[in-house]
Amino acid sequence: MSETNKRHDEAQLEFYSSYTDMGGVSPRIIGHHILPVHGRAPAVTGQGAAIVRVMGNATVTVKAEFIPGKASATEGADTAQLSGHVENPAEPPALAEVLTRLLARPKYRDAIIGDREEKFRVHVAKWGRKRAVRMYWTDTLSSIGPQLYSALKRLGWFGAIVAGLKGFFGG
Amino acid sequence: MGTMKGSDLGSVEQHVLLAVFRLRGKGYGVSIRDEIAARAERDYSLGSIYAALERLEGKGYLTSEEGEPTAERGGRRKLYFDITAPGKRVLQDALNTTDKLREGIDLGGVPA
Repeated sequence: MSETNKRHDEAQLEFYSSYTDMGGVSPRIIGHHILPVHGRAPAVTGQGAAIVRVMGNATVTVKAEFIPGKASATEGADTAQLSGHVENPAEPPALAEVLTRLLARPKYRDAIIGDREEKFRVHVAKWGRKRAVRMYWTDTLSSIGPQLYSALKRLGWFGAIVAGLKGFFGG
Repeated sequence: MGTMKGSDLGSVEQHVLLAVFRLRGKGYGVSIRDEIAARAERDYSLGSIYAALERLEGKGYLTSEEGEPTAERGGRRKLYFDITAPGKRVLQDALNTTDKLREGIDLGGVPA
Protein backbone atom coordinates (compact mmCIF):
# COMPACT_ATOMS: atom_id res chain seq x y z
CA MET A 1 0.00 0.00 0.00
CA SER A 2 1.37 3.38 -0.95
CA GLU A 3 1.66 6.20 1.51
CA THR A 4 -1.16 8.19 -0.15
CA ASN A 5 -3.61 5.33 0.31
CA LYS A 6 -3.07 5.05 4.00
CA ARG A 7 -6.23 4.66 6.02
CA HIS A 8 -7.01 7.50 8.35
CA ASP A 9 -6.54 5.36 11.42
CA GLU A 10 -3.06 4.53 10.25
CA ALA A 11 -2.11 8.09 9.47
CA GLN A 12 -0.49 10.02 12.19
CA LEU A 13 -1.47 13.60 12.43
CA GLU A 14 -1.90 16.28 14.93
CA PHE A 15 -3.44 19.70 15.07
CA TYR A 16 -1.16 22.49 16.03
CA SER A 17 -2.54 24.50 18.87
CA SER A 18 -1.03 27.64 17.37
CA TYR A 19 -3.88 28.73 15.10
CA THR A 20 -3.15 32.25 14.13
CA ASP A 21 -5.69 35.02 14.14
CA MET A 22 -8.83 32.88 14.21
CA GLY A 23 -10.82 35.57 15.92
CA GLY A 24 -9.85 34.20 19.29
CA VAL A 25 -11.79 30.97 18.75
CA SER A 26 -10.05 27.66 18.45
CA PRO A 27 -11.25 25.06 15.98
CA ARG A 28 -12.88 22.04 17.52
CA ILE A 29 -13.53 18.60 16.17
CA ILE A 30 -16.92 17.71 14.63
CA GLY A 31 -17.06 15.64 11.45
CA HIS A 32 -15.11 13.83 8.78
CA HIS A 33 -13.47 15.54 5.86
CA ILE A 34 -10.97 14.10 3.46
CA LEU A 35 -8.05 16.46 3.50
CA PRO A 36 -5.48 16.18 0.76
CA VAL A 37 -2.03 16.89 1.99
CA HIS A 38 -1.64 19.53 -0.68
CA GLY A 39 -4.56 21.48 -2.03
CA ARG A 40 -7.99 22.39 -0.84
CA ALA A 41 -10.25 20.26 1.28
CA PRO A 42 -13.35 19.59 -0.84
CA ALA A 43 -15.79 19.37 2.01
CA VAL A 44 -14.65 22.53 3.68
CA THR A 45 -16.25 25.85 2.88
CA GLY A 46 -15.93 29.25 4.51
CA GLN A 47 -12.91 31.27 5.44
CA GLY A 48 -10.02 30.30 7.60
CA ALA A 49 -7.00 28.14 7.73
CA ALA A 50 -5.41 25.52 9.84
CA ILE A 51 -2.17 23.64 9.81
CA VAL A 52 -2.20 19.90 10.03
CA ARG A 53 0.99 18.01 10.50
CA VAL A 54 0.99 14.76 8.62
CA MET A 55 3.65 12.20 9.14
CA GLY A 56 4.51 11.04 5.66
CA ASN A 57 2.75 11.88 2.42
CA ALA A 58 -0.69 10.52 3.28
CA THR A 59 -4.33 11.28 2.61
CA VAL A 60 -6.03 11.46 5.95
CA THR A 61 -9.47 11.76 7.41
CA VAL A 62 -9.88 14.17 10.25
CA LYS A 63 -12.71 15.69 12.18
CA ALA A 64 -12.68 19.45 12.26
CA GLU A 65 -14.83 22.50 12.53
CA PHE A 66 -13.37 25.81 11.53
CA ILE A 67 -14.61 29.10 12.85
CA PRO A 68 -14.55 31.82 10.21
CA GLY A 69 -11.77 34.34 10.61
CA LYS A 70 -8.70 35.60 8.95
CA ALA A 71 -5.90 33.20 9.40
CA SER A 72 -2.51 32.71 7.95
CA ALA A 73 -0.78 29.42 7.83
CA THR A 74 2.87 28.78 7.45
CA GLU A 75 3.99 25.94 5.29
CA GLY A 76 6.68 23.64 6.36
CA ALA A 77 8.25 20.48 5.03
CA ASP A 78 5.94 18.23 6.97
CA THR A 79 2.83 20.41 7.25
CA ALA A 80 -0.29 20.51 5.13
CA GLN A 81 -2.06 23.78 4.82
CA LEU A 82 -5.85 23.86 4.61
CA SER A 83 -7.33 27.01 3.32
CA GLY A 84 -10.50 27.89 1.61
CA HIS A 85 -14.05 28.73 2.38
CA VAL A 86 -14.97 27.62 5.88
CA GLU A 87 -18.50 27.77 7.20
CA ASN A 88 -19.39 27.67 10.85
CA PRO A 89 -22.30 25.23 11.30
CA ALA A 90 -23.74 27.46 14.00
CA GLU A 91 -23.94 30.51 11.73
CA PRO A 92 -27.18 31.10 9.84
CA PRO A 93 -26.97 32.15 6.17
CA ALA A 94 -25.73 35.73 6.02
CA LEU A 95 -27.59 36.74 2.86
CA ALA A 96 -30.93 35.72 4.32
CA GLU A 97 -30.16 37.83 7.37
CA VAL A 98 -29.42 40.82 5.12
CA LEU A 99 -32.84 40.36 3.47
CA THR A 100 -34.49 40.51 6.88
CA ARG A 101 -32.50 43.63 7.76
CA LEU A 102 -33.72 45.32 4.59
CA LEU A 103 -37.40 44.87 5.38
CA ALA A 104 -37.87 44.61 9.13
CA ARG A 105 -38.83 47.64 11.18
CA PRO A 106 -35.83 48.75 13.29
CA LYS A 107 -37.71 48.10 16.53
CA TYR A 108 -38.32 44.46 15.62
CA ARG A 109 -35.21 43.82 13.50
CA ASP A 110 -32.94 42.28 16.15
CA ALA A 111 -35.81 40.34 17.70
CA ILE A 112 -36.81 38.69 14.42
CA ILE A 113 -33.20 37.88 13.46
CA GLY A 114 -32.60 36.51 16.95
CA ASP A 115 -35.79 34.43 16.80
CA ARG A 116 -34.75 32.97 13.48
CA GLU A 117 -31.25 32.21 14.75
CA GLU A 118 -32.69 30.52 17.85
CA LYS A 119 -34.83 28.28 15.63
CA PHE A 120 -31.90 27.70 13.30
CA ARG A 121 -29.73 26.33 16.10
CA VAL A 122 -32.49 24.01 17.23
CA HIS A 123 -32.91 22.79 13.65
CA VAL A 124 -29.15 22.27 13.19
CA ALA A 125 -29.06 20.11 16.31
CA LYS A 126 -32.16 18.19 15.22
CA TRP A 127 -31.72 17.78 11.47
CA GLY A 128 -28.26 19.03 10.53
CA ARG A 129 -27.05 22.21 8.93
CA LYS A 130 -28.25 21.57 5.37
CA ARG A 131 -31.89 21.17 6.30
CA ALA A 132 -31.66 23.97 8.86
CA VAL A 133 -30.35 26.36 6.20
CA ARG A 134 -33.20 25.37 3.87
CA MET A 135 -35.74 26.01 6.62
CA TYR A 136 -34.10 29.34 7.44
CA TRP A 137 -34.37 30.42 3.81
CA THR A 138 -37.95 29.19 3.53
CA ASP A 139 -38.98 31.29 6.50
CA THR A 140 -37.03 34.31 5.25
CA LEU A 141 -38.53 34.16 1.77
CA SER A 142 -42.08 33.57 2.97
CA SER A 143 -41.65 36.55 5.31
CA ILE A 144 -40.84 38.97 2.49
CA GLY A 145 -44.48 39.45 1.43
CA PRO A 146 -45.91 40.36 4.85
CA GLN A 147 -42.87 42.44 5.80
CA LEU A 148 -42.82 44.34 2.50
CA TYR A 149 -46.57 45.00 2.71
CA SER A 150 -46.14 46.24 6.25
CA ALA A 151 -43.22 48.51 5.28
CA LEU A 152 -45.05 49.95 2.27
CA LYS A 153 -48.18 50.61 4.29
CA ARG A 154 -46.16 52.34 6.98
CA LEU A 155 -43.66 54.27 4.88
CA GLY A 156 -44.70 54.23 1.22
CA TRP A 157 -42.35 53.17 -1.59
CA PHE A 158 -39.75 55.89 -1.11
CA GLY A 159 -39.69 55.55 2.67
CA ALA A 160 -39.43 51.76 2.44
CA ILE A 161 -36.41 52.03 0.11
CA VAL A 162 -34.69 54.54 2.41
CA ALA A 163 -35.43 52.36 5.47
CA GLY A 164 -34.15 49.29 3.59
CA LEU A 165 -30.89 51.03 2.74
CA LYS A 166 -30.54 52.13 6.36
CA GLY A 167 -31.11 48.56 7.49
CA PHE A 168 -28.55 47.28 5.01
CA PHE A 169 -25.92 49.66 6.31
CA GLY A 170 -26.76 48.82 9.91
CA GLY A 171 -28.79 51.94 10.70
CA MET B 1 -74.66 50.70 8.48
CA GLY B 2 -73.91 48.49 11.52
CA THR B 3 -71.09 48.89 14.01
CA MET B 4 -67.75 47.15 13.36
CA LYS B 5 -67.00 45.67 16.78
CA GLY B 6 -63.85 43.58 16.56
CA SER B 7 -64.02 43.49 12.80
CA ASP B 8 -60.62 45.14 12.38
CA LEU B 9 -58.90 41.92 13.43
CA GLY B 10 -57.74 39.58 10.68
CA SER B 11 -57.43 35.85 11.30
CA VAL B 12 -53.63 36.01 11.78
CA GLU B 13 -54.11 38.86 14.25
CA GLN B 14 -56.74 36.89 16.14
CA HIS B 15 -54.44 33.88 16.34
CA VAL B 16 -51.51 36.02 17.48
CA LEU B 17 -53.61 37.80 20.12
CA LEU B 18 -54.90 34.47 21.44
CA ALA B 19 -51.37 33.03 21.60
CA VAL B 20 -50.03 36.13 23.37
CA PHE B 21 -52.93 35.92 25.83
CA ARG B 22 -52.23 32.23 26.51
CA LEU B 23 -48.51 32.86 27.02
CA ARG B 24 -49.20 35.51 29.67
CA GLY B 25 -46.36 37.93 29.12
CA LYS B 26 -43.88 35.23 28.06
CA GLY B 27 -44.78 35.42 24.38
CA TYR B 28 -42.07 36.32 21.90
CA GLY B 29 -41.71 35.52 18.19
CA VAL B 30 -40.70 31.87 18.51
CA SER B 31 -43.02 30.95 21.38
CA ILE B 32 -45.99 32.69 19.72
CA ARG B 33 -45.32 30.85 16.48
CA ASP B 34 -44.91 27.51 18.29
CA GLU B 35 -48.09 28.05 20.30
CA ILE B 36 -50.11 28.67 17.14
CA ALA B 37 -48.49 25.72 15.38
CA ALA B 38 -49.14 23.37 18.31
CA ARG B 39 -52.75 24.36 18.91
CA ALA B 40 -54.05 25.50 15.54
CA GLU B 41 -51.68 23.61 13.22
CA ARG B 42 -50.95 26.81 11.31
CA ASP B 43 -47.33 27.38 10.41
CA TYR B 44 -46.96 31.12 9.97
CA SER B 45 -43.61 32.59 8.97
CA LEU B 46 -41.92 34.82 11.51
CA GLY B 47 -42.45 37.68 9.07
CA SER B 48 -46.23 37.13 9.22
CA ILE B 49 -46.14 36.91 13.00
CA TYR B 50 -44.16 40.13 13.33
CA ALA B 51 -46.27 41.97 10.77
CA ALA B 52 -49.32 41.09 12.89
CA LEU B 53 -47.53 42.00 16.13
CA GLU B 54 -46.54 45.35 14.64
CA ARG B 55 -50.12 46.15 13.61
CA LEU B 56 -51.52 45.05 16.97
CA GLU B 57 -48.98 47.04 18.94
CA GLY B 58 -49.66 50.05 16.70
CA LYS B 59 -53.36 49.81 17.56
CA GLY B 60 -52.59 49.62 21.27
CA TYR B 61 -53.71 46.00 21.68
CA LEU B 62 -50.25 44.80 22.71
CA THR B 63 -47.24 46.11 24.58
CA SER B 64 -43.67 44.90 24.17
CA GLU B 65 -40.69 44.67 26.46
CA GLU B 66 -37.10 43.67 25.73
CA GLY B 67 -35.61 40.65 27.52
CA GLU B 68 -32.01 39.76 28.19
CA PRO B 69 -29.67 38.94 25.29
CA THR B 70 -28.84 35.23 25.05
CA ALA B 71 -26.06 33.28 23.33
CA GLU B 72 -28.36 30.97 21.37
CA ARG B 73 -29.82 34.07 19.71
CA GLY B 74 -26.42 35.43 18.73
CA GLY B 75 -26.49 37.88 21.65
CA ARG B 76 -29.81 39.39 20.57
CA ARG B 77 -32.65 40.20 22.94
CA LYS B 78 -36.08 38.65 22.92
CA LEU B 79 -39.01 41.00 22.55
CA TYR B 80 -41.81 39.89 24.87
CA PHE B 81 -45.40 40.83 24.13
CA ASP B 82 -48.37 41.16 26.44
CA ILE B 83 -52.00 41.91 25.74
CA THR B 84 -53.56 45.20 26.92
CA ALA B 85 -57.09 45.80 28.18
CA PRO B 86 -58.24 47.17 24.79
CA GLY B 87 -56.59 44.10 23.21
CA LYS B 88 -58.62 41.75 25.41
CA ARG B 89 -61.78 43.69 24.60
CA VAL B 90 -61.29 43.59 20.86
CA LEU B 91 -60.39 39.90 21.00
CA GLN B 92 -63.52 39.11 22.99
CA ASP B 93 -65.61 41.08 20.48
CA ALA B 94 -64.08 39.20 17.57
CA LEU B 95 -64.69 35.82 19.20
CA ASN B 96 -68.26 36.78 20.12
CA THR B 97 -68.89 37.77 16.53
CA THR B 98 -67.61 34.41 15.30
CA ASP B 99 -69.71 32.57 17.90
CA LYS B 100 -72.86 34.43 16.86
CA LEU B 101 -72.24 33.73 13.21
CA ARG B 102 -71.70 30.02 13.69
CA GLU B 103 -74.65 29.59 16.05
CA GLY B 104 -77.09 27.04 14.71
CA ILE B 105 -74.91 26.10 11.77
CA ASP B 106 -74.53 22.45 10.93
CA LEU B 107 -71.91 21.92 8.26
CA GLY B 108 -73.28 18.45 7.62
CA GLY B 109 -70.53 15.87 7.83
CA VAL B 110 -67.58 18.25 7.48
CA PRO B 111 -65.16 17.20 10.23
CA ALA B 112 -64.49 19.79 12.91
